[in-house]
Amino acid sequence: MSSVFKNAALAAMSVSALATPTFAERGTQGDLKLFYWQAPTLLNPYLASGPKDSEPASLVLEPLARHDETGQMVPWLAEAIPTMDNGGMAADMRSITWRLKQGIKWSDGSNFTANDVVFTANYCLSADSGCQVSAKFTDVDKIEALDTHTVKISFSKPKPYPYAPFVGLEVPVLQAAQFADCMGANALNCSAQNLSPIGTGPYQITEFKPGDVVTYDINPFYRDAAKPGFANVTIKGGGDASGAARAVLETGEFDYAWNLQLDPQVLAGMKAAGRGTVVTDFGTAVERLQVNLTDPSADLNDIRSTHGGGAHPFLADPRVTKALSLAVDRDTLVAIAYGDTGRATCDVLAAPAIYASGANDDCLTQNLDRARALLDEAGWTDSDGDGIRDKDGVSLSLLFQTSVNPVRQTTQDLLKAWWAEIGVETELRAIAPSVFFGGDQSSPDTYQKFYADLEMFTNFFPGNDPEPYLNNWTCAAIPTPENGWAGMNVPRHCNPDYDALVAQLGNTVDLGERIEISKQLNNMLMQAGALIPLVHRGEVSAHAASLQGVRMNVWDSELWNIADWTRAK
Amino acid sequence: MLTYCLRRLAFSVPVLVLISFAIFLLMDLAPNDPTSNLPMSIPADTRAQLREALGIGDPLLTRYLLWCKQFFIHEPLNWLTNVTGLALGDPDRLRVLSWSARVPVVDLIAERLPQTLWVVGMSYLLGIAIALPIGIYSAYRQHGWFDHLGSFISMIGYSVPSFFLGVVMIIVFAVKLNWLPSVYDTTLRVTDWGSLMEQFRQMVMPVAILALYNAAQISRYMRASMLDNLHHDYVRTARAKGASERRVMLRHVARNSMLPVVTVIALGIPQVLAGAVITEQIFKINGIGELLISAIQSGDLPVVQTLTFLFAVLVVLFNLFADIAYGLLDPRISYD
Repeated sequence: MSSVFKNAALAAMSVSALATPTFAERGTQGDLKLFYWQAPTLLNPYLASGPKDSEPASLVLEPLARHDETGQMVPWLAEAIPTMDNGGMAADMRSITWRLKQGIKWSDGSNFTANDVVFTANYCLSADSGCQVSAKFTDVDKIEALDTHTVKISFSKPKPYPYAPFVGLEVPVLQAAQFADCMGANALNCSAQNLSPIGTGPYQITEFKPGDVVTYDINPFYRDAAKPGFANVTIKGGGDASGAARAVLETGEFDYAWNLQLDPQVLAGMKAAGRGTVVTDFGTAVERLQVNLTDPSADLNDIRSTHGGGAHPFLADPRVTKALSLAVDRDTLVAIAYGDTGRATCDVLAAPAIYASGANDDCLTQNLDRARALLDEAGWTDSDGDGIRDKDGVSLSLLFQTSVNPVRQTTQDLLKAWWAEIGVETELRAIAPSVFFGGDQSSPDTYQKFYADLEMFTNFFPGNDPEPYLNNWTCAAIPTPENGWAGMNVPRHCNPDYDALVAQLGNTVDLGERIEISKQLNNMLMQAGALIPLVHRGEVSAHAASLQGVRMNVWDSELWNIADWTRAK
Repeated sequence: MLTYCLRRLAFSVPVLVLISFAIFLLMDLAPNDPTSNLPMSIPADTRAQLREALGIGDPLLTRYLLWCKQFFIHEPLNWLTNVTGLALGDPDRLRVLSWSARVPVVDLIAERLPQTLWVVGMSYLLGIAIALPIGIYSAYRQHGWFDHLGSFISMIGYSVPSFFLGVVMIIVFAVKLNWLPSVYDTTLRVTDWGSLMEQFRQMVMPVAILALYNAAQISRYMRASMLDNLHHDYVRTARAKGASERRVMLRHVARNSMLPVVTVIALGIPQVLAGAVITEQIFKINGIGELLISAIQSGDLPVVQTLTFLFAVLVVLFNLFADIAYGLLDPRISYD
């Protein structure tokens, strides 16, 4: 061997030796085993039913832009995020133009082009497709390919925030060639395609057993020759959250476990084994009480829980809901039921941090005296001496319902005890989740019919723009018998000022102004007593101590940067 | 005998059709919505479209007849096509599709069957193999120490629930001792000695738990049945003839005592194929039992309908087998 050659080889070796901790060669890290205890059943996010499906799909299918762990948009298959400044967004806010990265290939070796993007939009928008993210394409008028790597999305009205289509894990790009025969009603019957979509991501699917296990190997055409680090990935499902946590934190059989909403003591005990780390991050999810502002009395029959049946006998008075909110010791609730995975909050729009209002924080500390004073002031006193406040023959007696879930039942018990201290009687109901969250018209127990005074569940919004979320509480979004109990305005909150402000938000581009309006909207909801926020909920996952590169992300797929993951030696 | 079997089979057809319709009706009456698991951020009109795309809005009878057509005509045709390689009928015919996975239900079941058969089937065989000797010897030495020990163990097998025993075993053998895996690997292929041992290790805990339960049940039946027979005249006759105790017990008493036990065993086999819901959950075996539970939770009616119907078929079939087995065990019973 010539000395020149030898030196070059040595230099190359030393470079790679220096780079080892942060930079690994493709496929040198061995096998990666992930545990998604709610097992994926379908790997096409357009038809899938939630993060349990769309996250495993995110190893394969990629959008034009993702959100990073701080909630910021990062271009993924696109060159850059189109904005007014870089000319990607039209001055009239009616269109944006995405420029796609050059040289990206699908895992079958064919080229990724603008046609794939256009096809995907048409796929979702075609009638009878059962596409569950069609709301991401709201107001989209036309999507067209200007050339092989430029896509123009036109909207039917000005869109100050046009980053819904193809941003985030729910709306990735499908390969036009693979799904060509799956348009419209055929979408649901394309079993082979839905089971194993071809993607541009770091991995490709080698085997998928729905409801059980997915295995992946490296996409040979992945754009970064040095990534991904792990050669094979397995995502196993089944069992429950505690079994998943145990497999990572106690037995070390798995490297990563997702969605570990567990009793805080249980999780702390498992963490003590020292095999892994628990990672938490807070997104937009808030566990809240929905206050029924309309009368849910059974004797109203068809008009119960509608504005036609009149206002609620006592919850329509914001002083009463304020008292209920002040009686809750949120910190204790968090400590008992949520641990590190929750934070007390008094805002229904609690995140992203720039949107948090903070104007309602007086409810963060429990104040029973003030709660009692508010009820006294509203005229509710215990006139008959039975320990329950009443007025004009109506007693302050609540029916409080939620879904069956250990954490929720603990919360119900705590709230009932606190409210008893201020003279409010509470009857608790727990309904099977498939019924409570189901849209069965014949069932009286759905959260939207809301045949109760209070109900509790978590809601959130994907991505980092709260506009669609705040749209939930306009008069038009009230569930009624006429609209088949559709709509997310469960409290039946209706205020023309609120609706006007929401409309104003829809026409505002400036981020500072958008934040200001959003805070005002949040405050209006809090002051009207439509909602009583309780806990800002975090996402919890656990990973093995040896796994490096995990950047827990609640704004996108938790596996968004899996190509960078490595194993400590 | 043959005519008897044919007659029974012919009778079972209307029974099964009735059962399938009853299952369909029951599930239609239950509040159920396959879109209830979707994230809250998905608007109601999208949900409505989704339900429509799944065909939920169609009249009950239409949906039932469609299922019948897909299950009784399309599925067998598809199976024949796969087996014979001949193109039979329309290749694009619709099969019974799962709502949540959008794949043919029969394929899902086929995927789940191996692990269920391995674990639950093995535990059933093991349970029987343990139960019969225990039952026989316990009855022979009634009130002896072996009988008491046997009773004690079967009481434990009966009364300690598998969700408790399973977690205790995981904590001891997987967490503390680190001997056995707590998660069942369904992708493991047995190709050599090493992978066979791996398969054996992951089966130890679930098989042990289920075998204990099965053995507890069957050994009690066997013991009771033995005790019934031990006091019959023919036993005294056999002993008077000078037959060895071994011959008396095994050839005479045990054989006669098997009759009711065979019924219990035969009728238990459909449950083997139905999987073990709780044990499968604990060890993440993801067999038939887990499929049924997750389908019920996600409102996946085609899967629930097909699975419960298949269970009904199995129950009917194994009832027939049990009756035939009587005739083989006891020549006095004849169906002709």
